[in-house]
Amino acid sequence: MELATSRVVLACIALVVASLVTAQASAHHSFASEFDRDQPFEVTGSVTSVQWTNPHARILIDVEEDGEIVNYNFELGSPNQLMRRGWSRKDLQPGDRVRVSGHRARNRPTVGRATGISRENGEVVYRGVADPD
Amino acid sequence: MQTSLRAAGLVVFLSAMSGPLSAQWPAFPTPGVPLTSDGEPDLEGPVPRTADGKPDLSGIWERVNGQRGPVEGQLGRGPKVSPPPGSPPRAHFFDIGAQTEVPYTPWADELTEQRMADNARGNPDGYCLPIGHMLYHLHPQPRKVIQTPDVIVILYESNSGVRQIFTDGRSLPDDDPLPWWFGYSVGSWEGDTLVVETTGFRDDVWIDYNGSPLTSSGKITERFRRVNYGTLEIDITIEDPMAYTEPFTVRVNQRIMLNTNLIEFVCLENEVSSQFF
Repeated sequence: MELATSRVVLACIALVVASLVTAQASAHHSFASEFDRDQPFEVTGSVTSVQWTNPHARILIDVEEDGEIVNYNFELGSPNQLMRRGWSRKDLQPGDRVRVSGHRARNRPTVGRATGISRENGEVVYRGVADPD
Repeated sequence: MQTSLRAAGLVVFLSAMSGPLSAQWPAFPTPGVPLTSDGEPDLEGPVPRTADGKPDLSGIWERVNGQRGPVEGQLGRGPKVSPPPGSPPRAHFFDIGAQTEVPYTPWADELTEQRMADNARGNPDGYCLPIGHMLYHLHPQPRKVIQTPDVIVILYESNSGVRQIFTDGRSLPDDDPLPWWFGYSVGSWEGDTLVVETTGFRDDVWIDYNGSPLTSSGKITERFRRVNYGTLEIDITIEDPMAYTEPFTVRVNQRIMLNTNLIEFVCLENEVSSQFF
């Protein structure tokens, strides 16, 4: 009985940990070709859509800048990678307010590779790595 | 008692996994996993064998990247790291020479430097193309080995790679075969080690993400050894007189992944990056 109880505890811990998606590795290696690790940046805005597609899931976010709305396009890991870490395509919905940090694309200022996504209440939703391996 | 406890653990495991994953790609327990006295998977347990007594390499495997010295950024050749005691140099996904001096020819050395300076723009992975033996071995996405008596098939989740290793006694073709993305592979057993030889490569194979090359003059010899239930060692010898002044050998380690599957990965589904490289 004690062994079964400890298994329940371990499973619950695993579920909590898995809900904090940490992307340690990436499919479709294009970071160096497309993004500039010397251009980290951060924006806060509202999710407009989630593209749950390969090779990279994408989050599109409307950000208010100087009175205008600018739509940012952030690349994440692949859906396979995200699913293995417990994330669902429904975890972020249009209208959700989020803060996104990442690295800017070399020649497109409104495109980035996300390294972290958190909600307004500080809950971390996604954490990637700057130089995915 | 042990059976009921294992069943309870399985129920709890599947329950824990059921929330976000069940509607997408359900987990399913791997059959035949050896267990410790505590009922846990015994990853150091005995190597499973096929009906004809050969080590069975079947399973889903994840890469264990070799340790690499520090580099600035993603690409580059850093200071060499000593391999683990008793191990050949271990390759890293970005740098096959992370733990050894690679004997580049001047042409290959210059080409690799150009590719790094160009931010690996031409790497096949960026275009969702087959990425070659070394990058498949070390890619972070898993691979599934399916072993039959006459052929061993490796399914790579990355870029839908499929590799055939013919173990039916045939020889490598010697009649100037077409260049292939995966080459042509034949394998035979030396004791408990599967020795695989591959030739017939294209001229533009990358053997690390830095861009170290392999050409149609190249030959790769792999020695697969399942050390225990959970560990696969692959010693890989690279020969290519166009690119390397002498053969060199590196090791790739992989470990078993339990209770999982390869997940469909159609790379071209929404590939929008390469137009901006």
